[in-house]
Amino acid sequence: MSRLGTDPILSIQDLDVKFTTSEGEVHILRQVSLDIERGSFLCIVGESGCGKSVTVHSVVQLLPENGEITGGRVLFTVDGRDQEISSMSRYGAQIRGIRGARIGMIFQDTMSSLNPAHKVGRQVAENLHQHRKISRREARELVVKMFSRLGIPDAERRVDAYPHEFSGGMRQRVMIAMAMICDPDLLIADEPTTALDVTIQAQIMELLKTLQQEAGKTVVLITHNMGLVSEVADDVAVMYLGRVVEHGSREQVLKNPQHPYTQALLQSVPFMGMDPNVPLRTIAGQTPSPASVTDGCEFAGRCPYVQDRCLTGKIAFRQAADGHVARCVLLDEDGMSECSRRDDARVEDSSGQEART
Amino acid sequence: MTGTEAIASLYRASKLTKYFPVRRGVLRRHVGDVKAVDGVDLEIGRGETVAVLGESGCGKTTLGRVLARLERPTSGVLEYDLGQGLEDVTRTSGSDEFAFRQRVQMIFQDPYTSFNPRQRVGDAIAELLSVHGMDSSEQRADRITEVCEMVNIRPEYLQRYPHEFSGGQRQRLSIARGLSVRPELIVADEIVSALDVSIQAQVVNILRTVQGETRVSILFISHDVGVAQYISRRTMVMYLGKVVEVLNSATLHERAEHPYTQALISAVPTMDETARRERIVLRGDVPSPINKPSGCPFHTRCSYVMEVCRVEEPLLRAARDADHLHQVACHLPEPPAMSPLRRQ
Repeated sequence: MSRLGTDPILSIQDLDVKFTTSEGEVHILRQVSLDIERGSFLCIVGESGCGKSVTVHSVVQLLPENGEITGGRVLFTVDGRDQEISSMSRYGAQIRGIRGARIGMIFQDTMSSLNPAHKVGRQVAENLHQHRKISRREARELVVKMFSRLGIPDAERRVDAYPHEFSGGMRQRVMIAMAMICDPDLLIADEPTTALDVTIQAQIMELLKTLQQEAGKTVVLITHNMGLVSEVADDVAVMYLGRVVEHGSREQVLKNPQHPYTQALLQSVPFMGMDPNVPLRTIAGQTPSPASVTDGCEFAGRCPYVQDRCLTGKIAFRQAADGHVARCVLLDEDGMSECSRRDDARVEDSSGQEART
Repeated sequence: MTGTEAIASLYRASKLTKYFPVRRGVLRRHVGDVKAVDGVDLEIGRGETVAVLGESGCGKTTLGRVLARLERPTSGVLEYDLGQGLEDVTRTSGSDEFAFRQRVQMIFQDPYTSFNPRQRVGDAIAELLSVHGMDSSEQRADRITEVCEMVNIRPEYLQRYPHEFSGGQRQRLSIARGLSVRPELIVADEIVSALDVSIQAQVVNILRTVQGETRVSILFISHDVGVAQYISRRTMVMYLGKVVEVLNSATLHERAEHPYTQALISAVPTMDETARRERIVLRGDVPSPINKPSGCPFHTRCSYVMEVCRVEEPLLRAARDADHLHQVACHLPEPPAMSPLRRQ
C-alpha cells in the first residue's frame, strides 16, 4: 500500500533496481512506491546510500550502464495520458521526448553538468533545439527571457558568458534555466544547494518554490537537510537503504513521525535556537551495505525498538493517518505508533557504539 | 577585548593578518594580495569552545591554520599562555615551535586525507606520541587505549587501516589522535560537514563529552549555524577576512546586531517554526578578497549603508545590548531590528 493521491503526475509502483558490480548483483531499490501529486512540492530525504538519487535517475532512465530496472513500473501522466516510462528503451526516442522536455532535471555539481568550453546561452538553447523546431534567434530570445525570469542580472549580456564566469549560485540558476526552458511539467532537483552557502541556498529555494506556486510546476527535491524540508515541502518521503520507510504530508512526517528511523533522523540535527543541553540523538552503528539486507525490516539492526517480528517476512506499509504511511510493525491499527508513545521514556545512549564488524 | 573575565586566557591574537601574494606574467610580478585574514582580534579562554562562523571564502580556515601555526601570519601578534601568563609566540621557531604544536592540535574536514592509507591507525597515533616524546611503548599503548575509549572506538580496531573505517569512525579517530598528546586547544576545521546527519550527531556529542572531561579549548570552524551554536559558548562571525560580530552563542538567533549576521541567520532553514524569520535577501555576490571594498567590507551589500561605511572601517566595539560578550563591527548608531518572525 502506498499513499494514495487523487491526481498523480508521476506514479512509481514497486520499483526494483539492481546494479551489477564486481561482487555480483546488488539490489539497490526494493519496491519503491511513491505517488507524486500534480503541482505539489515533494522532498525525498535520507542519508547517503539510501537510494534517493537512484530513484529519480530511474524515473528519467538515466541509470548508469550497470544499473537496471528489474521490476515495477513508473507512470508519467500528462494531458490525461499515461506513459509507462519504465518500459521505454533508455536510448529511445520516446524517453528523449520526455527527458528534458516534460521532466527537467537539476543536479548538484554545476561545474560537471555544464560544458566549460561553450557559452551558457548556447547550452541552454541546445535543449530547445533538441525538442522544438525553432530558429537560433528565437531560441536566444527565450533564453534571455528565462534568465531574467530566474533572476540572472544583465541577462542579455550574460547568455554569452562562459560557465567559469558565473558564481556557484548563478551557475545553479543557469542549470535551472536549462531544466525550465522547455516548460516541463515536472522538475527534479537532486541536492541542488548542497555545495552552496546558506544565503545563496535561500535564494535558490525561493526560486523553486515560486516555480511551483506561480508556474504550477511539480517539484521533487532530493535533500538531506531537514531544515530545508520543513520550510519548502508539501509532502515528504523518507528513504532508508533502498526503500521508502515513511511518506506523508510535511506536517504529518515532521510533527508526528511514525518510523523509528524518521524519529531518530529528526532528533539528530542541531537546529538554530535549540536547547544546547539536550544531547543529539544518534543512530547506533551505521547504514549496512545494501547487499547484506535479506529479510524483514532493513532498519532492524539499528532500531532501538526491534522485536522478533521485525526480523522476518515482508514488512508492509501501515496507515498512520489519512495520507500518512510508514513501514513499521509497531504502527498498530489505531494509527498511533507504539514507539512514539515510548519515546519519552527511552533516552538513547548518546555515544553511538560500534556495530561494525 | 572583554568578555572572558571569568575564564583565564589561553590564546590571544591581535591585528592578525594573512595575505597570499598574487603573481602574474612571466616575471611573476606581484600584482596584489588575497587578504584571507585581514586584522582579526580574538581571544580563546581555557576550556572555552569558540565557533568561527562564515560562508565560503570568508577566511575562517586560514585563520584556523594560522592559529595552529601551519601558516605564518603576515603581521599581527600571537600570544599564548605557556604557563606564566600570555607570552608572545609570534616568532617562535625550532624547539619552542615544536613544543607549541603539542599544545595546539588541528583536526581537518576530510579524515581520509589526514591518515596515511598504508599505516595502521594505531601506529599513526603512536607516531604522534613518540614524536612528542613518549618513549615507552607501554605508555603509548595505554594512552592510545584511553583516547580510543573517549571516542568510542574499540582498541582492537587499531590494527586496521584507514579505509576499513567509515567516515564517522575515521573522524573520531582523528579526534582521538589530536587528543592523545593532551593538547590545550583543538582547532576543528569543518570536522562534521562531510558526514551524514546521524553520524554528525555522534561526532558532535563525542566532542562535547570530551570537552567536558578534559577541559580542552576548542576553536570550532563551521559554516553551519545550527551546529556552531549548539557546540560553542561564543560565536565569531567572519566576512571577507574580518570578524564582523562576536556573540553569545545561546542567543545568537535573537540578538544579532550586524546586518550581515542578521541576513545569515534569516537564510538558515530551521525546523523550529517559531524561530523562522523573514528572509533578508543580500544583493550581489561577496566581493573578491583581492580587491576588497574600502571601509566596511560589507557595505556593498548592506541595506543600511551610510556614507561613513564607504570610507571608514568599523572596529569591533561593545554591542548595544547589555551582554558583555557581545561585540559588533558596525557604524550604525542603533542596531537594525532583527527581521520579523515569519507567520505560518
